[in-house]
Amino acid sequence: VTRGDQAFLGGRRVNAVRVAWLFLKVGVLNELQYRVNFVVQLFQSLIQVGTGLAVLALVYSHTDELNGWSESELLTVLGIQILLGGIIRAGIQPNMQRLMEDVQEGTLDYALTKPEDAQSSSASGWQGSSARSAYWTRSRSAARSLSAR
Amino acid sequence: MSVPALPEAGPVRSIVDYYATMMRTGIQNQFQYRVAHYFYMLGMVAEPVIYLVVWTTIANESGGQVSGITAGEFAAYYIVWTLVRNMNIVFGAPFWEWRIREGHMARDLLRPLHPLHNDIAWFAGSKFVIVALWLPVAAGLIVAFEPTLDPTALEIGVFVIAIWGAYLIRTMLQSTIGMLCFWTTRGAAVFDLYMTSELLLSGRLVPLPLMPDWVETIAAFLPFQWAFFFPIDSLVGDRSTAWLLGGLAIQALWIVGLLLVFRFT
Repeated sequence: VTRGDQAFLGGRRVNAVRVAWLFLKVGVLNELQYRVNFVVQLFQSLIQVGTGLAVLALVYSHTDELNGWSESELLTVLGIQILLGGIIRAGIQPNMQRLMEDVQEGTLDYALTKPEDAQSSSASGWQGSSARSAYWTRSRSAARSLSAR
Repeated sequence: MSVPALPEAGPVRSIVDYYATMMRTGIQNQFQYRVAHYFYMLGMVAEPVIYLVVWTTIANESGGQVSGITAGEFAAYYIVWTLVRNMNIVFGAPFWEWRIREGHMARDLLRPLHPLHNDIAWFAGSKFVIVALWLPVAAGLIVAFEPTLDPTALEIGVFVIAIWGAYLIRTMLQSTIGMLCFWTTRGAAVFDLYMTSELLLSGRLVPLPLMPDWVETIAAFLPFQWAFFFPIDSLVGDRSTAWLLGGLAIQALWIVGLLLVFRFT
């Protein structure tokens, strides 16, 4: 057994973890290219948290208890919902959305032809063709939000 | 041998033809995706149902009403809300962001008509499909929540006009915000701020009389309530004829005002 051998690395499972870690690093580097964008996203998150707190304050300005739930209890629920929502939106939703689009656009073929397991690479943030630029990835993110408001 | 020129329609007839054609296209296009629409609509209905359950619970725990609004009136408000919301959904500012960034706007500008006409006409046509699909949803909500609703003929008439006014107000608002994307690629932040302001100041979250007085004062100077609260209240509330007709006039003023802002941004 030599260094870099699959058996040395523990087989496919460890390889999938390494690929997921690599995708995470690429994703972070990609996001760090756009520093102003990060600040804007922070601002957007603050708006969303502020809205949730305002709604809660409005409801409890008309009552002391909502079906047995106090304001502090619902505040805790809101906090957990925001936390879990953040994890889902950061790590799960974008990949699932991308997978759906890749099926529609035919670009999933790139993932299927790679030696890595297509399901795990899609779930961990596969970026499609290496030729696809960050710009294109970002453009598709915008296109995703095309849904009418 | 020269070919005789086709008779040219006048500008008014041309634009009417264009709107009629685009609306028909919108209807046919939307009918293709009935299941997708229903899923979208069910997701959208979740929002008012949550509000409705919360405020009905508060009303029941507070002796049957909150600030004079009964549980049945809350049910009526939020069921009509679903129709108004379906009507005032428009091409959002993110669509403009995408359209400008991807270069589709350049293609649209080559057409002899402003792209806004295309957006308004196409989406207006789709509303007929959406309202038809909404009817069974509304029937289910009526059975489940037993709303108190007894509108007069005038209120129904004003409501029918007001929901189209709401559609145009939101179209102009979102299109104007979309124009920001000519200067920045991150219009989404402004759009989020707009959505939050609308949520709190339009009657979308709660009927405006439940808001603190200072919020109502701010809301009076902004267009948001004319796209949500006014159409809903025109059907659900017990308002005077002068108030109803005055509301339509204010809607018209906001549409014209926002159109002017749109033209100069």
